Amino acid sequence: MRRRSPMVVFAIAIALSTALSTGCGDEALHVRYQAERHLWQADRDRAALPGNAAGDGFAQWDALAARYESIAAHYGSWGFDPGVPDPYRADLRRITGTAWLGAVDVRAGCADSLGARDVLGAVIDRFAGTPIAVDMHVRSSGVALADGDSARAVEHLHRVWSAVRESERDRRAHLDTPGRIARLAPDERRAEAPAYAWAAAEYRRVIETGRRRDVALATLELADLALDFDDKSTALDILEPLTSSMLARAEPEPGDARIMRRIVEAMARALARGDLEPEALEPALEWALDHGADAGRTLTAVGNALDDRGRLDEALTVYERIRHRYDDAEWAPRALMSAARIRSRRGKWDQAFVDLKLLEARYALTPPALRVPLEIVSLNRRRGTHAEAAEALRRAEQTYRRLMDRLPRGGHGDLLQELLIETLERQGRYSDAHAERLEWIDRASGSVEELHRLRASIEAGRNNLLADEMIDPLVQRMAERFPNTRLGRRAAVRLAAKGS
Amino acid sequence: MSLIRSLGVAWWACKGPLRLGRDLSTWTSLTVLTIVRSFVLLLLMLFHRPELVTAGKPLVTALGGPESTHYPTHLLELPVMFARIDLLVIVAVGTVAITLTVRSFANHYITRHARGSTLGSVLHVLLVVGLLLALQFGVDRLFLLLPEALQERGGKLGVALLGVRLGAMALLGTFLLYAVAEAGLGAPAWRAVGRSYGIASTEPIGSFVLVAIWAAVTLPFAALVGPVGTDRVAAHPEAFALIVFLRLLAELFLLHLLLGASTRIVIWKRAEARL
Repeated sequence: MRRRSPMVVFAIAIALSTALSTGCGDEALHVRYQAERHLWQADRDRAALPGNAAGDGFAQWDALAARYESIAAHYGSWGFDPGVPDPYRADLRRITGTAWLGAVDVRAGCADSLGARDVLGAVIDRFAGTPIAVDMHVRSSGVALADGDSARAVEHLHRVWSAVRESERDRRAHLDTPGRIARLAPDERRAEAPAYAWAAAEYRRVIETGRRRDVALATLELADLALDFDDKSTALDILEPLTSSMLARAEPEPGDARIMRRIVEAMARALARGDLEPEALEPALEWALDHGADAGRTLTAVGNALDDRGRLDEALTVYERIRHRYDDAEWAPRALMSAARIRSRRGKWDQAFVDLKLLEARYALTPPALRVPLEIVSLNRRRGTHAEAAEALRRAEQTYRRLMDRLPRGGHGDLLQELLIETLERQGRYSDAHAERLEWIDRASGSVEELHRLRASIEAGRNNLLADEMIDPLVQRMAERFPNTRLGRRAAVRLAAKGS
Repeated sequence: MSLIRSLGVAWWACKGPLRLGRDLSTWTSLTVLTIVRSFVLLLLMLFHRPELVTAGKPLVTALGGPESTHYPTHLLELPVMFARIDLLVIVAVGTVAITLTVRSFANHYITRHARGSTLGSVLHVLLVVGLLLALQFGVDRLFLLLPEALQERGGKLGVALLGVRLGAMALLGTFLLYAVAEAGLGAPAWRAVGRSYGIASTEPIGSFVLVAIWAAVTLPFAALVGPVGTDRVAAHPEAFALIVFLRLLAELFLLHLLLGASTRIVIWKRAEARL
């Protein structure tokens, strides 16, 4: 017994010290921990849910939305209780706000845009002045836009900007907000538009007072906006000093190549409109390419601008440069397709045909290569060889059907079916095209994409003068499967009106 | 010295603690140690409970930083936080428990074999344990010299690297295997290390087998809380606490086995030397 006594004494000491230390509790930490745990588990379960939120998996998604709402409701009162000390109170507000946003995202994923709007509408004012309110207003503007209510979207975006405009830390993430507000305004796209003047003034304020990176980003936003509103002098005036300062920099910083790429893209837009000569863009382009900017994307913007401007030889040179110096699976096929189109427009049929055949062989199964059969049809029509065009159309249908049979579902399946639909419509076989559209819709069954495809198919059916018996089932399906969306409700109203 | 004979020595040594497994007196000290370690683990795990927060929060913040008070970082960091405080527990409580266990085994194998006071032995065991921990620290630091990408590797390569790390530790530990028992039985720490080296030199394979048992049993636990298993376990952060607790239980049995076996060999070698 004597041998064990030191251990016993030690165990008693531990127990006593613990008992003494457990007098006063800190419940807020426990509540925050539990809230974080429940939210994390909900996020984890969300990642494991089936993708077809609006179909078979709807019940699970709906239950998850309810779970997020219950987490937010359960811990919400703690976040606004003055008796709860900071930082726990602020953390709990952030957690409950994130839970509400989780519910909104899940409802939006279930194509329940009205439900998402209701959730946000019920809680957004409560979070006014907190950091999470910014995310809520961003989300609300998205929901309003999906509803087609751009005035409400603009209202929410104004709230976002007023919350972040004075904060150096938060502003950068939302620097596109004034531009979005101006573009959503019902004004005409002219330099005198009030919404544009307001946004430009906001950007100028950031340019005058912000840090170096913010100044560069605000300049780019303003340049893009000025080009949208046909204010070329502003665009070029503000791009010039930014470009000079970037070119003069001895040691580029991380992110500079991306900024220069955006400068080149903005200049390319000005070039396409005839506001700038290609020579003015050259130093910025070469700098961007030398410093690791996305070469394919940057050069494509310049090539397309030259093409729009009608400087076809220079555009072809740029496309050739992409193919030969920056050959990759994403941009090289696009460059080859653009080159083929330019040659086709100039009547160089044989060269265009060779480009298309090269595209089909070298970059097989890329989206531009899959378009080649239909492009050959267009080439023949432009050339005036209508018999060959009809034959090419027939071969295009065979090619797309063969590829759809051979390739596994997913991947390019959707694109192939869209190309087949286009082929059938070009042949004037609208009923066949409609049958393909039904299959195309089924491919997206259970996702929000199904709603978009239904809408596109209904519009195509009306444009192609299909019989009501073919269109009405689509309208009915939209009403039945998406009752909590603006489109679904409108479809239900239309069906009811037709029935009465 | 044949391989069969070496394995026979290891098996003979293990039979001692296995036979004494039913005798509670050889378990008491190690059980108290495991209870204390479990209590510390529980304190770290449930630090956020209002009843424990006054003691738990400063402890978790000190061991893992303020981020560790948040879920799930807290549970993902739990094995590391526990390993840090466990050093203290082993030094403060473990050395006493180990000394008492060695003496308990010795008293069962042959009466009145231990010499000197228990407290004196505890101090020398503390020095030997300190040397073992320093060796482990050194091996860990050596592996930190590997490129970060390699340290964070999962899969088969990750398991292999972990195996090499534990193997290196086992190889070094082989020569100190008997030092704990020697010190527990009253030898000064420096002499205990020298004698341990001597015994391990005459019985290298048997000694390595004993240490390898420890490495082999603890390998899955180390793998699960390291880069190899984190991806699989991270979806259920509470599992980290369970893994650490199961490791504590495994170490209770491993300590009992290794201390019993090494004490038996030390007594045998002392008797042999006296002849």
